[in-house]
Amino acid sequence: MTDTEDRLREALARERKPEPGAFFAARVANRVLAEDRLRRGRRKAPWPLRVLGFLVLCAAIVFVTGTSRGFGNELRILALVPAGFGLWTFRREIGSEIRGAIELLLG
Amino acid sequence: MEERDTPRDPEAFRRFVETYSDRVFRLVASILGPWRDADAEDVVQDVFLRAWQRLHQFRGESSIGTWLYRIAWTQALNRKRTARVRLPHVPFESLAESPSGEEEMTSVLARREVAAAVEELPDLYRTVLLLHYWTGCGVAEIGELLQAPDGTVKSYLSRARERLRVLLEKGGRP
Repeated sequence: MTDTEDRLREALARERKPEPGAFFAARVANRVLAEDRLRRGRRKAPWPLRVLGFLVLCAAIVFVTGTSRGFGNELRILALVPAGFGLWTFRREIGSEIRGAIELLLG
Repeated sequence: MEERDTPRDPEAFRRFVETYSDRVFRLVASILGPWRDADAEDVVQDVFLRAWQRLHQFRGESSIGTWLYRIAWTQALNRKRTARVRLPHVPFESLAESPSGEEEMTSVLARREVAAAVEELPDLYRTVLLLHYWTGCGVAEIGELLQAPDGTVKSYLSRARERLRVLLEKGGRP
């Protein structure tokens, strides 16, 4: 064995060997599949649904900001439901982000 | 699983990861090297994610393992460029406390010199050396990971050792 090899072996002997643990493959596969589900969930909704979501969101904002006089504040809180629906439809990835984050947390 | 199977369903994919993850991990770790702060496990995950997403692009012209190792090579080199090098060092506290502080420092300096020289090597030579001397891969396995015949791997190893010797003689500087 040459001096160069000796020095190299000696230097590397003190470094931690790259050894994947027993569950390494399962962990990688789970993470990849979860990440893939997360990415697929980020796909946009079909355009008619997005247009509908956007219109519902606009209507809800107009209602909440007070152009429809005669309703009480309590009723306006109800507008949060269609607003939430509109936001979720228009930006569907918000829901999938939350789902993906939960999946990643649960491993 | 057959080599040419494309593991499109999750169960087949799990078996695919089981078959190849060890070798991909060793390849990625050797490209990154022991003195970089990049996480090999993260890179391996990226490699399999990319493979899963690009399975439709796999044309079956080579074995699926060869295709996967090529992805691993590219991903690991990309990560290596952004990772910081952390050469061996002696913590100041250990020098002050340890009676063999001087000995420890000499050993660290020697390791540091080798590490710096290894880092100066071209990617291919550095990877071949680390695969062999760090992860303990044999010539045949290195050949499989790098898609090179045994004779070529032996020649890479020999040239890498020679380049390393020259660098060490110059004190780790090119």
